[in-house]
Amino acid sequence: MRYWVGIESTAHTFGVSIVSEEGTILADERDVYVPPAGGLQPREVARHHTNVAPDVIKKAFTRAGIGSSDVTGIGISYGPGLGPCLRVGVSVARALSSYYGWRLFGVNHTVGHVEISRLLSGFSDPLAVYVSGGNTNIVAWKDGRYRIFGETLDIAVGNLLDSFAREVGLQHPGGPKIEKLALEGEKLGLIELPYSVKGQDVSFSGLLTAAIKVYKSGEKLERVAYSLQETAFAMLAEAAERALVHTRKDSVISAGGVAANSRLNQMLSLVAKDHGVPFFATPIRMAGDNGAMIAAVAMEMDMEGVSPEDPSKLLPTPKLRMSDTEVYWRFTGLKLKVK
Amino acid sequence: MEVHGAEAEGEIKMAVLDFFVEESLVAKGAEAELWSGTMLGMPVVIKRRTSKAYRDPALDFKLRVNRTFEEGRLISKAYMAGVSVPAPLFIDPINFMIVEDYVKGELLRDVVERKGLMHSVGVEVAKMHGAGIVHGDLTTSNVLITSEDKPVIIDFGLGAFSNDVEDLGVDVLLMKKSLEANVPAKAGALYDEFMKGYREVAGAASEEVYKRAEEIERRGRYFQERAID
Repeated sequence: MRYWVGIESTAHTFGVSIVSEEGTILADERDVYVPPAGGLQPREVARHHTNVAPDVIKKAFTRAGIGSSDVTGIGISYGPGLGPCLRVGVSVARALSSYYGWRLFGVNHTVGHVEISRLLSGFSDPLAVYVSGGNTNIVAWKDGRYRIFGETLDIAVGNLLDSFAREVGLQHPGGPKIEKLALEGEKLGLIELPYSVKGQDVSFSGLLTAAIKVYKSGEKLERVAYSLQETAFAMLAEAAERALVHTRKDSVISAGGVAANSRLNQMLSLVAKDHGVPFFATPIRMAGDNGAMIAAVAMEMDMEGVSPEDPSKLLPTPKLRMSDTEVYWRFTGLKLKVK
Repeated sequence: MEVHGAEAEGEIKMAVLDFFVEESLVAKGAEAELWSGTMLGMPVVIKRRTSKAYRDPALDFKLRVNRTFEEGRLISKAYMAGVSVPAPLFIDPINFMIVEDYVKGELLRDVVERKGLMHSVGVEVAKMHGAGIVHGDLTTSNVLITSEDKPVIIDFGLGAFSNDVEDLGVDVLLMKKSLEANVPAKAGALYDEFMKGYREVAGAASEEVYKRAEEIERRGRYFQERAID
């Protein structure tokens, strides 16, 4: 049996996972940095990752019950992300690869999110709605790459939720707290907020400003949370529907940290149903940043004959688009499972 | 027509009932359904924005009303400015419905190489831009060609009122990209023909639009990424 290790450190999560060639996630360990107050300070987060890295790696190997000599290759999430955080993960992966002779694969973090969701869904070629703190992309595979068919023109949807949460005094991450408040706010009714869909693209900055303003003018937080979430997700659902009609894909998945939100998944499932295609919502644990998505992609790349990287040459790449990476190697027909 | 008593009342009722008849679903897009039918016996196309179960009912209603109203304004203004578009016959925002004259024709996509056609498409697009309207989805699938070889621009669902050279450039580039996807070998010549017609109406202003389209193409990522066929 062959095994691949994956390391994720693009933002607040330091994650290590081990995946076997039959498609089982044997270990999925992580340590998530929580800021004492406010948002993420990249250097603080990087320090956290440096401190926890050895432990998280050890735990993953203990959980998987394998040793260093059982490992075939290692994947590292080398971008996009926060520079200082990326440097920790890339340094660790390069060191492990050189020391143990594991084959090294640079994995585009955004491709990792879409791939883990796709491999868990068992769909071969879905439209993916990838939503997180730093990214909002509606993507589909075409000519060997994930192409962006719709995206945010300004801030990411996760950033919208986190920024609003911070403004109204909720602790990071704000998404889950807003989701809970929104449930209570539904009965109070929707407040009209800026709704901006341009073709297949969305724009959230006007919505953020307006929601903060409405809250500060004395409106109940629950009601603002409901209106904000409802407006933002309806925009995403509409953009996704346009992309679905345009690309004619036969299934839909959600991916990324915001895919943990059940209201968003409910909306996307209704869009899919309307067009007679199945929908898969990524399980919460696999929606946020994790090492398993990096290990799984490293396995796909290695098994499809992609040449490994030279450990001395792989560099962190903070700015990396989904469509920058070739994905000609993706598997179809494998359904990943969690041990 | 002579009318008598009770019978006449029945006739009038019938007339009201027959004001529109939706006959068959022609197409289902992301936000609207297109039906063919009749209005007072005339053949028409009925575009109806459908309700979306996924969104809050208040938001759903507001979006459908506003967009129907806006699209109605765009097509009416284009029609009054003499741009070749289907005649808007009935705009009913509260019922999310636009009724247009039924235009019999082929899709530009299927006859794009016919002589002189792209020239007259260029003329119509320049007239539309001159009226302060951008289409937003100007492809060879959104222009019909009548049996007299007259182009008719359809579907203003993504349109807007704008004189911004960036928006005009996007329209022109969309047409260019659509030609490239359609007839790769002849796209260059057909685009030149289109721009020639455009220039005849837009005059000196056309140079700026042409240059902006080139610029958007150079900086543009997604026009290439998003093309499906």
